[in-house]
Amino acid sequence: MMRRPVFITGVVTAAILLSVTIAAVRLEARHQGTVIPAAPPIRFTLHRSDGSTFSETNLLGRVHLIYFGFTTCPDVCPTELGWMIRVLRRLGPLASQVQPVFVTIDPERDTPAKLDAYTAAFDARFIALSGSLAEVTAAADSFGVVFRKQTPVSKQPGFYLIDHTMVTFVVDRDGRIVQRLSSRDVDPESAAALIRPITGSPP
Amino acid sequence: MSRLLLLILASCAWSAELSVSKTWSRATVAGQEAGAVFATITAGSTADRLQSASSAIAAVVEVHEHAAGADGVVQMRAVIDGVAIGAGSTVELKPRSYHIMLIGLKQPLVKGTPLTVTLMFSQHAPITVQAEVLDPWAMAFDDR
Repeated sequence: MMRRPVFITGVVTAAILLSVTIAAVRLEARHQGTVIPAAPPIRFTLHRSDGSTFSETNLLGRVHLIYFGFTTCPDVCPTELGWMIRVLRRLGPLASQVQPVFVTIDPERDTPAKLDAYTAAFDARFIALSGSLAEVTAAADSFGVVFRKQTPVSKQPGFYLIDHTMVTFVVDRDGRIVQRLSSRDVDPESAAALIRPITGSPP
Repeated sequence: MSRLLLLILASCAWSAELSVSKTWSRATVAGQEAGAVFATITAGSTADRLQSASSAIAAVVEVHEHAAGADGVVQMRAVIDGVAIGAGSTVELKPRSYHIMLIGLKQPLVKGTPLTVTLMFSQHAPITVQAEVLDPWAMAFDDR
C-alpha cells in the first residue's frame, strides 16, 4: 500500500521535470533569434531589376529572408548572403517555400544590372530590390534597418562604405517579421530549425 | 631514420620566420568595386605588425577591420596602426574580422584565378603571396 504514493510522487515529479524541460527548450529556441512581439506591419515600395514594383503585399503566401546590404561591401554582405544560402541548403525541399531577398541600401551605385549579377553569383533564387534613395530609406525604416554612409577616408576618390544593420529578417507567410537573425549569432542549422515550422508543406 | 626525422622536425621548429599562408579571396562580378583578401599570418620569434598591403589588381589597398555595435550596425574601418602579431603567434585575417580590402578593382576576381598581393610588415621584409579566389560565399580557405 505504501507503493502507490511513491508511484504517484514519481509520476508527478516526472511530469514537472518534463514540463520544465519543454519550457527550457522553448526558451532556448526563442533565444537563438530575437522574437519581436507585435512588430508593426512592414510597409515599403521597391522595385525589381525589371522595373516591376515589389511591396509588402508581394510577401504574402511565402516565407521571405530579407537582407539589406550593398554590392561594394567586401566582407559583411558576402558573409551574410553566404549564410542565407547555407540556411536554404539546410532547409532541403522546404527551401522552395522560402524566398531570399537582397535590398540595396546603395541605389546610387547599385544599378539593376549590377544587383542582378551580384545576387545571381550567390544564388539564382535571390530577388534583388532597389528604389530611389527615399524609397530605400523608407523600406529600411520600416524594417528598423539603420544605414549611414561613411565619411570617405579612403585614398580612392569618391569611394565610400556604408555602416549598416547586419540582420536577416524572417518574414512569415502573413508578411510579418517573426525573427531577426544574423550569421554572427545563429548557425545555419539552428536558423533552418527556426524557419522550418513556419514554411508550410512543399507543393 | 628516426634521427633524420627528428632533425627535420627540429629545423622546422627553429626556422622561426614570419610566414603567410592560406591566402584567399572571394570572386566578384563585373562592376563590383571592392574585394577582400584573407590570410593566416604567423609571426616568427619576434613580434611583428601587418602595416599595409598592395596589389596591382586594385587602385587602393587597405587593411580593414570589422566592428559591430550592440545595435547590430556593422562598420568596416581602415586599421591605422596595423595588425599586431605576437612573437610565435598566429593572426587570421577572416570574415567578420580583419581583411585586406581591395578598393577600385581593375578587373573582377575570378574563381580559380589567383591574385598577387604583397603584405608589408613593420619588421619582416614584404611578402608577396598568391591569393586563391574562391566562391563569393566562401567563409574560409578550405571552404570549397
